[in-house]
Amino acid sequence: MDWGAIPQFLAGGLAIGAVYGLIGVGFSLIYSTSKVINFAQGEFVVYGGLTTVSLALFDIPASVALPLSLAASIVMGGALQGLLSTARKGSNELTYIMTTIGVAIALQGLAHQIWGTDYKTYALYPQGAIKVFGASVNYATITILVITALVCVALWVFLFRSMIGKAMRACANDSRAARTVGIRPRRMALLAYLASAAIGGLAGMLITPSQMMSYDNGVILAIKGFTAAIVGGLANPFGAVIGGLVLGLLEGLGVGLISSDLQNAYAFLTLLVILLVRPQGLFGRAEPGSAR
Amino acid sequence: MLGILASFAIVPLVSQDPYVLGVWTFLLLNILVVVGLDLLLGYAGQLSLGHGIFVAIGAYASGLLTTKAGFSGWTAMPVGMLAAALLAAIVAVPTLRLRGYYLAMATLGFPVMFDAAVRVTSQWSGGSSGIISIPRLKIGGYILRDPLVYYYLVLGVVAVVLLVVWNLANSRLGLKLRAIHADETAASARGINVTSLKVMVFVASATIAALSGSLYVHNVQFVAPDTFGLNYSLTLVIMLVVGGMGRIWGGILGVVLLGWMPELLREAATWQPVIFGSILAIIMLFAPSGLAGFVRRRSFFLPEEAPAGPPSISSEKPVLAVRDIGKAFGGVQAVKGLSFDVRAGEIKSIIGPNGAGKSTALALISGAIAADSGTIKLGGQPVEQTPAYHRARLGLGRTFQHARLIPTLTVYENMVLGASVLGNRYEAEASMILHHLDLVHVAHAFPGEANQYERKLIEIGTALAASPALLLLDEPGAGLSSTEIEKLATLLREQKERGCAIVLVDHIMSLVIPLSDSILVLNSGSPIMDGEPAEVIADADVRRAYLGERSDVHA
Repeated sequence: MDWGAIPQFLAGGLAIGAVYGLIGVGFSLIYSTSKVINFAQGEFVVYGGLTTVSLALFDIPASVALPLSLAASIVMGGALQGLLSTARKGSNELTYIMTTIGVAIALQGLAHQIWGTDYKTYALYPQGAIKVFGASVNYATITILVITALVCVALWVFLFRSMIGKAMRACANDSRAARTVGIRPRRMALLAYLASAAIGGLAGMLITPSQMMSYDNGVILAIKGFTAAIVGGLANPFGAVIGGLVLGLLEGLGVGLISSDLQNAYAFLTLLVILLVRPQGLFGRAEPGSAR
Repeated sequence: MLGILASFAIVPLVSQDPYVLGVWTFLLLNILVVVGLDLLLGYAGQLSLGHGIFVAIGAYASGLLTTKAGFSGWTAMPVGMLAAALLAAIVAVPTLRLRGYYLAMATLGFPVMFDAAVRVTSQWSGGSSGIISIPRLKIGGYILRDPLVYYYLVLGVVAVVLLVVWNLANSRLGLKLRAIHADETAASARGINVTSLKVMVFVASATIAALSGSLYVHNVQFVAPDTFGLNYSLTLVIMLVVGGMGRIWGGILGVVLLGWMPELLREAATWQPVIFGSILAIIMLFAPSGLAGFVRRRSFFLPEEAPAGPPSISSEKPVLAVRDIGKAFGGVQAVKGLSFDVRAGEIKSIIGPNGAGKSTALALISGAIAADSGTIKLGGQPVEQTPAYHRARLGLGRTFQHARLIPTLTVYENMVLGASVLGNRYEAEASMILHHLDLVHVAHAFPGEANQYERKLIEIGTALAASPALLLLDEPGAGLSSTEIEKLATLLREQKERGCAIVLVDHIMSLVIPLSDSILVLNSGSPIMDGEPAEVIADADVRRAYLGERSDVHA
C-alpha cells in the first residue's frame, strides 16, 4: 500500500467524480419532476462524447462541435420524454423504468453500429499539470472541475432565481398543488429531460478527451451516476454533484490502494452500503413510514 | 400447463438434428430461469436486472467443483444452488425494503461485481478466459453425452419445477404476491408479511436460476464470466415481458418466441440489442402485460354453498387499550396524549374537524405508522413495536379512507386474500362474507368495475373475512346515500352483536350518533371529550370546535 501517493490517487478521481456528479444531476432532475428513474441517462453521456468525436474527425473546430453536440443531446432528451409520454394512462413506475431500459439497450446497440467497438477520443485540453498538495493535477481535471462548478451555479440560478426554475421545484415538491396554480407538470418534466440530456451530453464531452469513450460505457456510467445521485439524496441535484465527487475520490483511492481490477466494483459497493445505512443519502430526508 | 410440457416432449420426434436439439435444450434452460424471474418480477413486482449472476453462480460452482475439486456433477449442483440462495438472501434483505427501482439499480451492478470477482480470483477461477473441459454428468457409469438424452433430462427437471411453480402461483401464495405487487400497504393490512415473502421469492428464483446454470455447463462444457452477463440478464427480462409477466406460461411463450432470435439474426447479430431494446420499450408503452395480457386470467374457485355465519368473540379485557399515544411529523404534532379503551361488542366513534388527527390515530393503532410515544394493547398484548401485518394476524382489521382494494384481483380474490390469515378456513370465510354482504353478483368482477357503495362494502368485507376482533373504519359513510348509510349501520350492528369491537371515524352524524356506544372528540391532535353520544353533542366545547354552536344535531 502506497500511502504517500494518496493525494495523487484522490486527484485521479476528481475529474471522473465531477462527471459522475453531472450524470447524477440528470437522474435527480428527472426523478424530482416525473418520479422516473431514467436508465438511459448513461446513453446521453456516451452519445454526447462520441458525437463530438465524429464532428472532430471532420475537422470541425471545438467551438462549433461542442454546441452542435449539445444540441443533439437536447433533441435526444426531448425525444425520450416524447416517447415516454405515449405510455398508456395509469402505467406504474415499473413500466416507465423498463421502457427507459429498453431505450438504453436500443441506443447502445445503435451506438455500436454507428461507432464500432473502439475506444474513441478527441483533443480538447491543453497538456500540462499543476502541483497541489503533492499531487499532480492536470489541466483536464481543472477544466472539468471548473465547468462542473459553472453548471452548478447556472443550475442554482435557474432553480432558485428564475420563475421557470421555481415552477420546476414546485412541481417536484407537489405536482398536484403545482397544477392548481397553473404549472403544467408535463412541461416541467420535458424541461427536466432536456436539461438532463444536455448536462449528460456535456459530461460525455468533458470526459471523452480525458479518458476515452466506447459505445458500451453507458450502463456503467448510468450506475455510477445513479449512485452519485443516491449518495447525495435523489431529490437534490447539488447533492448529486457532491455524491459524484465522493464516489470519484473513493474510486481513485480504491484503484490506487487496492486494485484497479475492481474499479467498477467500488461504485456498486458504495451503492449497497448507502442503501443499507442511509438510503435517503447525505442530504435527503427519510421518507416517513417507508421501511417496515 | 401439462399440455405445454407434453408438446415440448414431442419436439425431438420432429427433428433429431443435434444442433436443433441443442438449441431447444438451451431454450428449456432459459424457460427455467425466466419462470423463476416471473415469480419475482411478474408476481411480486420486483425488478431484478442482473438475474444472470445466479445462473453464473450455478454454472461456475458446477464448473469449478468438477474440474478443480473432483466433485461429481450431481453433488456440485446443490452447492451452486445454495451459494446462489445465500447471495440472494444477502442482497435482498436490505434492498427489498426499499422502493422497486433501488433493487433494479442494485442488481444492474451484479454482472460488474461477478466479472470483478472472477478476475480478482483468476488463479483458480479461470479469469476472463473462463473454465474449459467441464465434464458431463454421469448416471452410474453412463456419460450423458447424447443430445437427445440430455434434452429429456432437462425437460424432466423443467417439468417438475414448472408444475410446482404453477401450483404455487395459482394458490393463495400467488394472490399474496400479486397483492404485494399492486399495493404493499394494503397487503400488509391484510396480514401479509411483505418483506419476508419478497425475500423468499428472490431466493427461490435465484436457486432455480443456479440449477439452470449447472445443467448448462455440463452440456456445453465451457463457461466464461460474460456468458451470463448483462446482455443475458436483460434478454431474460425482455423475453418475460414480451411473453407476459405474472402468468408463468407467458415466460414460456416469450422464450420460445424470442429465444430463436440470436440464431435467426446470425449475420446481423450486432443488431440484436437494438431490436430487443426497441421491442421492450414498445411493449412496455403499449402492452405492458405482454402477449399473455390478451388472455383473461382464470378466477379463483368460488364454492357454491354459503356456509354458516361468523364465529363470535368474547373477552373480558378490553380488545383495544390505547394509552397516551403521540405522533409528530416534522414540526406538526398530529396526535398527542390520546388514551381510550374499547371492549368487545363496543362501538366507539372518533369525530373532530379536518386535520384533528383522526386518520393518524387509526394509522397508529393499525401499525401503518409507528407511534412516537405511548402504549397500544390488543387484547392485553402490547403491540407498539409490532408491524402492521402482524397486528392484522392478531385480529385487527381496517379499512382506508380511499378504499385500498387490489385492482388486479377479482372481488372474490380480494376477500380470499383478506381471509388468508385464517389458515385453511379461508375459502369458506371469504365465500360466506361474499354471500352475507350480497356481493355474489360481482364476485368475479374487478373492484374497478363495482360502484362506490359496493367498493366500500367489498373493503369492509375483505376486513371482515379475517374474522377480526377489532375493526377500524376510516370514513366508511363518505359518499353514501342515506339508504346506504342505514344498510351500513345495520351491518355494523351485526358485527357488534357478534362481539367485534369497532372504532369508527366519520363526519356523518346520522351514522355516528345512533350507532356509537361512546364518542371521542379530537381537536388538533388531542382529545377534548370522551363520553356517551348525548353528553358529547350537548357539550359546549365540542360544539364550538366541531359541531357548530347553533347546530341542531341531536341524539
